[in-house]
Amino acid sequence: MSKQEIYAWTSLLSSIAILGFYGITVYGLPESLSGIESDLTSLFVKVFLFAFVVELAIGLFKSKDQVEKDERDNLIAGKGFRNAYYFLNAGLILLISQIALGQFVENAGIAFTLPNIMHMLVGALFFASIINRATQIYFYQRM
Amino acid sequence: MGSHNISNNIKSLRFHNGEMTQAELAEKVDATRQTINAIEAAKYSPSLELALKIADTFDVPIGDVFWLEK
Repeated sequence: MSKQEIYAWTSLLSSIAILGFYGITVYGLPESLSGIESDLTSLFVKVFLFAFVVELAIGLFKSKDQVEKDERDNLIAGKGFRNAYYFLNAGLILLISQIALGQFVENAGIAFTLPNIMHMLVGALFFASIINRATQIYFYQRM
Repeated sequence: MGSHNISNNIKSLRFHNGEMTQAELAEKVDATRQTINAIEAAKYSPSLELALKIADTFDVPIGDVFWLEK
Protein backbone atom coordinates (compact mmCIF):
# COMPACT_ATOMS: atom_id res chain seq x y z
CA MET A 1 0.00 0.00 0.00
CA SER A 2 1.47 3.36 -1.03
CA LYS A 3 1.67 6.34 1.31
CA GLN A 4 -0.97 8.19 -0.70
CA GLU A 5 -3.32 5.23 -0.35
CA ILE A 6 -2.75 5.15 3.41
CA TYR A 7 -3.43 8.90 3.51
CA ALA A 8 -6.67 8.27 1.60
CA TRP A 9 -7.75 5.68 4.20
CA THR A 10 -6.84 7.82 7.21
CA SER A 11 -8.49 10.87 5.70
CA LEU A 12 -11.64 8.85 4.97
CA LEU A 13 -11.72 7.60 8.57
CA SER A 14 -11.17 11.05 10.06
CA SER A 15 -13.82 12.62 7.80
CA ILE A 16 -16.35 9.97 8.83
CA ALA A 17 -15.41 10.46 12.49
CA ILE A 18 -15.69 14.27 12.32
CA LEU A 19 -19.00 14.08 10.42
CA GLY A 20 -20.38 11.57 12.93
CA PHE A 21 -19.22 13.63 15.90
CA TYR A 22 -20.58 16.82 14.36
CA GLY A 23 -23.91 15.19 13.52
CA ILE A 24 -24.36 13.85 17.06
CA THR A 25 -23.33 17.15 18.62
CA VAL A 26 -25.66 19.22 16.45
CA TYR A 27 -28.68 16.96 15.93
CA GLY A 28 -28.24 14.22 18.53
CA LEU A 29 -29.52 10.68 18.11
CA PRO A 30 -33.15 9.49 18.01
CA GLU A 31 -34.73 8.69 21.39
CA SER A 32 -34.38 4.94 20.86
CA LEU A 33 -30.62 5.23 20.36
CA SER A 34 -29.87 7.79 23.07
CA GLY A 35 -28.33 5.05 25.27
CA ILE A 36 -25.40 4.56 22.90
CA GLU A 37 -24.77 8.25 22.23
CA SER A 38 -21.76 8.55 24.55
CA ASP A 39 -20.29 5.26 23.26
CA LEU A 40 -20.67 6.42 19.68
CA THR A 41 -19.12 9.82 20.45
CA SER A 42 -16.18 8.12 22.15
CA LEU A 43 -15.79 5.78 19.14
CA PHE A 44 -15.65 8.72 16.73
CA VAL A 45 -13.03 10.45 18.88
CA LYS A 46 -10.93 7.25 19.01
CA VAL A 47 -11.18 6.74 15.22
CA PHE A 48 -10.12 10.34 14.65
CA LEU A 49 -7.16 10.01 17.03
CA PHE A 50 -6.12 6.72 15.40
CA ALA A 51 -6.16 8.29 11.92
CA PHE A 52 -4.25 11.30 13.23
CA VAL A 53 -1.54 9.13 14.85
CA VAL A 54 -1.14 7.02 11.69
CA GLU A 55 -0.74 10.15 9.53
CA LEU A 56 1.74 11.59 12.01
CA ALA A 57 3.77 8.36 12.04
CA ILE A 58 3.91 8.23 8.24
CA GLY A 59 4.95 11.87 8.12
CA LEU A 60 7.73 11.34 10.67
CA PHE A 61 9.16 8.16 9.16
CA LYS A 62 9.19 9.18 5.51
CA SER A 63 12.26 8.18 3.55
CA LYS A 64 14.04 10.88 1.59
CA ASP A 65 15.01 8.55 -1.29
CA GLN A 66 11.55 7.17 -1.92
CA VAL A 67 9.19 8.91 -4.33
CA GLU A 68 6.07 9.82 -2.36
CA LYS A 69 3.72 10.82 -5.17
CA ASP A 70 3.76 10.31 -8.91
CA GLU A 71 1.53 10.68 -11.98
CA ARG A 72 -0.73 7.76 -10.99
CA ASP A 73 -1.39 9.33 -7.58
CA ASN A 74 -2.16 12.68 -9.24
CA LEU A 75 -4.54 11.00 -11.70
CA ILE A 76 -6.36 9.19 -8.90
CA ALA A 77 -6.51 12.36 -6.79
CA GLY A 78 -8.05 14.14 -9.80
CA LYS A 79 -10.79 11.51 -10.08
CA GLY A 80 -11.53 11.91 -6.37
CA PHE A 81 -11.78 15.70 -6.61
CA ARG A 82 -13.96 15.42 -9.72
CA ASN A 83 -16.53 13.21 -7.94
CA ALA A 84 -16.45 15.38 -4.81
CA TYR A 85 -17.04 18.45 -6.99
CA TYR A 86 -20.05 16.80 -8.68
CA PHE A 87 -21.49 15.89 -5.28
CA LEU A 88 -20.95 19.36 -3.86
CA ASN A 89 -22.56 20.96 -6.91
CA ALA A 90 -25.56 18.66 -6.72
CA GLY A 91 -25.86 19.26 -2.96
CA LEU A 92 -25.73 23.03 -3.34
CA ILE A 93 -28.31 23.04 -6.15
CA LEU A 94 -30.57 20.82 -4.03
CA LEU A 95 -30.14 23.07 -0.99
CA ILE A 96 -30.84 26.24 -2.96
CA SER A 97 -33.92 24.73 -4.58
CA GLN A 98 -35.16 23.53 -1.17
CA ILE A 99 -34.71 27.03 0.27
CA ALA A 100 -36.57 28.48 -2.71
CA LEU A 101 -39.32 25.91 -2.26
CA GLY A 102 -39.63 26.80 1.42
CA GLN A 103 -39.76 30.49 0.51
CA PHE A 104 -42.43 30.28 -2.15
CA VAL A 105 -44.58 27.32 -1.16
CA GLU A 106 -46.54 27.88 2.01
CA ASN A 107 -46.69 25.00 4.51
CA ALA A 108 -43.94 23.18 2.68
CA GLY A 109 -42.84 21.90 6.06
CA ILE A 110 -39.26 23.05 5.59
CA ALA A 111 -37.60 25.33 8.12
CA PHE A 112 -34.37 26.66 6.67
CA THR A 113 -32.94 28.88 9.35
CA LEU A 114 -29.43 30.23 9.01
CA PRO A 115 -27.88 27.77 11.55
CA ASN A 116 -29.63 24.87 9.78
CA ILE A 117 -28.22 25.92 6.43
CA MET A 118 -24.75 26.26 7.98
CA HIS A 119 -24.95 22.75 9.42
CA MET A 120 -26.06 21.37 6.05
CA LEU A 121 -23.19 23.10 4.27
CA VAL A 122 -20.66 21.78 6.78
CA GLY A 123 -22.17 18.31 6.41
CA ALA A 124 -22.01 18.59 2.61
CA LEU A 125 -18.32 19.55 2.81
CA PHE A 126 -17.47 16.51 4.91
CA PHE A 127 -19.59 14.26 2.68
CA ALA A 128 -17.71 15.62 -0.32
CA SER A 129 -14.43 14.81 1.44
CA ILE A 130 -15.67 11.27 2.11
CA ILE A 131 -16.65 10.86 -1.55
CA ASN A 132 -13.25 12.20 -2.63
CA ARG A 133 -11.33 9.72 -0.48
CA ALA A 134 -13.66 6.78 -1.19
CA THR A 135 -13.21 7.38 -4.93
CA GLN A 136 -9.44 7.46 -4.48
CA ILE A 137 -9.47 4.18 -2.53
CA TYR A 138 -11.64 2.59 -5.23
CA PHE A 139 -9.20 3.56 -7.96
CA TYR A 140 -6.17 2.53 -5.90
CA GLN A 141 -7.71 -0.96 -5.74
CA ARG A 142 -8.60 -0.95 -9.42
CA MET A 143 -5.47 0.45 -11.06
CA MET B 1 -7.96 4.76 -19.81
CA GLY B 2 -7.43 2.03 -22.41
CA SER B 3 -5.23 0.26 -19.88
CA HIS B 4 -6.24 -3.21 -20.99
CA ASN B 5 -4.85 -3.10 -24.50
CA ILE B 6 -1.32 -1.99 -23.76
CA SER B 7 1.04 -4.83 -22.91
CA ASN B 8 4.59 -4.65 -21.67
CA ASN B 9 7.53 -6.80 -20.79
CA ILE B 10 8.97 -4.78 -17.94
CA LYS B 11 9.18 -7.85 -15.74
CA SER B 12 11.38 -9.67 -18.24
CA LEU B 13 13.51 -6.58 -18.85
CA ARG B 14 14.02 -6.15 -15.12
CA PHE B 15 15.09 -9.77 -14.84
CA HIS B 16 17.61 -9.40 -17.67
CA ASN B 17 19.01 -6.20 -16.15
CA GLY B 18 20.60 -7.65 -13.05
CA GLU B 19 17.31 -8.79 -11.57
CA MET B 20 16.35 -5.21 -10.85
CA THR B 21 13.57 -4.90 -8.30
CA GLN B 22 10.40 -2.87 -8.83
CA ALA B 23 11.59 -0.47 -6.13
CA GLU B 24 14.91 0.08 -7.92
CA LEU B 25 13.20 0.75 -11.24
CA ALA B 26 10.72 3.07 -9.50
CA GLU B 27 13.56 5.08 -8.00
CA LYS B 28 15.30 5.40 -11.40
CA VAL B 29 12.17 6.72 -13.13
CA ASP B 30 10.84 8.88 -10.25
CA ALA B 31 7.75 6.80 -9.67
CA THR B 32 6.40 4.79 -6.76
CA ARG B 33 6.86 1.02 -6.55
CA GLN B 34 3.07 0.65 -6.63
CA THR B 35 2.92 2.46 -9.99
CA ILE B 36 5.56 0.14 -11.49
CA ASN B 37 3.59 -2.81 -10.15
CA ALA B 38 0.36 -1.46 -11.69
CA ILE B 39 2.09 -0.88 -15.05
CA GLU B 40 3.55 -4.40 -15.05
CA ALA B 41 0.13 -5.85 -14.33
CA ALA B 42 -1.29 -3.76 -17.23
CA LYS B 43 -3.71 -2.09 -14.82
CA TYR B 44 -2.33 1.35 -15.50
CA SER B 45 -1.01 2.90 -18.72
CA PRO B 46 1.87 5.26 -18.00
CA SER B 47 2.26 8.71 -19.53
CA LEU B 48 4.53 9.00 -22.56
CA GLU B 49 7.15 10.64 -20.35
CA LEU B 50 7.21 7.78 -17.84
CA ALA B 51 7.14 5.19 -20.63
CA LEU B 52 10.16 6.85 -22.25
CA LYS B 53 11.98 6.98 -18.92
CA ILE B 54 11.38 3.26 -18.41
CA ALA B 55 12.62 2.44 -21.92
CA ASP B 56 15.63 4.67 -21.36
CA THR B 57 16.47 2.88 -18.11
CA PHE B 58 16.67 -0.44 -19.96
CA ASP B 59 18.37 1.23 -22.95
CA VAL B 60 15.87 -0.18 -25.44
CA PRO B 61 13.38 1.46 -27.86
CA ILE B 62 9.98 2.20 -26.32
CA GLY B 63 8.36 -0.32 -28.70
CA ASP B 64 10.36 -3.10 -27.05
CA VAL B 65 8.84 -2.25 -23.68
CA PHE B 66 5.24 -1.35 -24.55
CA TRP B 67 3.04 -2.42 -27.43
CA LEU B 68 -0.64 -2.42 -28.32
CA GLU B 69 -2.51 -5.71 -28.04
CA LYS B 70 -4.17 -6.70 -31.30
